[in-house]
Amino acid sequence: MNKKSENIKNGNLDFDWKGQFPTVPEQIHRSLVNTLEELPDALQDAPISSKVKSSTTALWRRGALLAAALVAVLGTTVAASEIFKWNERTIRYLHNPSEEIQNKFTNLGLTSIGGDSATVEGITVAVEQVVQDENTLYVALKVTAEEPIVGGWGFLKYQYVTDEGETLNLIPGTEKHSFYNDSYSRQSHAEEEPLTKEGYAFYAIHSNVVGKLTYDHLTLRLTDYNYSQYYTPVTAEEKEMFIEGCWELSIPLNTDSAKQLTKVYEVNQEVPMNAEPVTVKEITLTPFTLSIVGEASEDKEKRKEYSEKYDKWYQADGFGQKCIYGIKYKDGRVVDLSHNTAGLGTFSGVGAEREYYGEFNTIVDTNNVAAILFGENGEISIEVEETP
Amino acid sequence: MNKEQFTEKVLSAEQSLYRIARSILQNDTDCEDAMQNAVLSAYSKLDSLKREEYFQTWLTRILVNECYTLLRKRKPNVSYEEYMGAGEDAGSTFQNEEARGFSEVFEEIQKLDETYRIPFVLHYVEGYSVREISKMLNCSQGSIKTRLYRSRNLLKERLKGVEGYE
Repeated sequence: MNKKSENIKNGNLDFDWKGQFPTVPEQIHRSLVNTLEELPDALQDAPISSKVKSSTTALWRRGALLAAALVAVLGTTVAASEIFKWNERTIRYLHNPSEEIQNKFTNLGLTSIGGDSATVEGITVAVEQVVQDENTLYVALKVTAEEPIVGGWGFLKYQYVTDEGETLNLIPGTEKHSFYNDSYSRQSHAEEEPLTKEGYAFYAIHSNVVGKLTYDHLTLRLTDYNYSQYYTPVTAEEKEMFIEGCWELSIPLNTDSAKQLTKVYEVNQEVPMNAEPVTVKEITLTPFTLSIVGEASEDKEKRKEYSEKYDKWYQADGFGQKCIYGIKYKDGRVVDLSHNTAGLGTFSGVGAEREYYGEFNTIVDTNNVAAILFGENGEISIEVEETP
Repeated sequence: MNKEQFTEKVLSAEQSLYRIARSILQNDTDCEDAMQNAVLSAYSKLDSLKREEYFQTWLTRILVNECYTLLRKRKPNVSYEEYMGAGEDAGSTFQNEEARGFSEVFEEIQKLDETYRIPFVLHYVEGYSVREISKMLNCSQGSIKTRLYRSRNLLKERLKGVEGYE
């Protein structure tokens, strides 16, 4: 942890801020101590994360070895990657998909390099790359300012307008996993110097919020650069930070091609989901997402047994995060669902009906998936075969 | 790191974890849930911690994620007033806010919008760097600096006359 900056001029930094906060209430302290006491010793021998991490890393490390086989399956050529290079930031954000996967998306028209741009008041917003499947659209943007910008990078409103004129508000952090704004700025001067001329952003739009991406294109509408609904600028310096305007960008979609990579599996197998016994009926897999429809058992004894056996673990990673573990390829490699904010497994349903939805933080080759994994470490699996 | 060492480190960070949870969630019932979830999650992922000296930063990041997960769960379903009062329902074991007699400064911090409050607490109260906060909150460093600047000005205005602050 670093020391406080010495350069901050406003406000009294020597003030005893910590002393102003309440101390931990006794109940919270007791429950924390109880939780710590109940931690199993054995966990240290087989931590979840080691398996999650190694499986993900191994996937892409071994990707190159599968190149020839994948090229044959995907009907692509290596030369395509030389002609059509993915944006380096997109590759990084999507956790280094192999060249074969990149070529597959290129050849199916599921990605486009470059694209629309808009300039207002000296601020240019340009599409660097778009990548999509049937459920998810990723847009990499570059923001360029004619003059260095004081302050941060961001817009007041983020909206998508469909072909049918429907406007969808996407506000970072307030929609459930609908908007993942992993933006960052590149400093033009020293690191602590707040003047920048370029910024980048990577946005994800998910079908569980906006519905299936069935349009020919969407319009991304960004409004009021650096504005805040919570703050009215007062000083001249603050006013310089805010630029009113509307930047609209046309984003092409290719729904028909995206459907080719979506796999639907009909199954009838009971697995633990969120510490409930659930009979899985249908699984839909896309390169970025996994959706499951099931039916929870109403057998009280069985429900009690599952609750006691699995509840601890399902709570351990937060709400619903352990509903689905991930997928296993035919060659045994495993890809887990993302454990970042964008990738939590979520569930909903009325009565016994259950629906689960999770996101990968990388691209899954849906043609080579052998099983869907559940349980603490993916030890429970449902083998899948595409429904004709 | 074994269970004993883990327990010791968590307890030594307890006050800081609570202050951060409290700045995001603003009621004790949710703070308790978030802190428990964060501890369990951290323990299950312990081997992903590369260097022990970063334990508290690492645990804080997990806690922030847990708090936001909880916040997302709460926000669509309840009004702000209901959310704020979640820990004060009849039968709650927590005292209500007024009865606990919080300081004026704390109350002013809590009144800041979360956009400003959370970076403020992480930086000025807990001492995390702009870079660390940008990673925790998944925001650019520029945005964090802007929020710190505004939060500082807002508080400066609101805390005029408070003893020890000026």
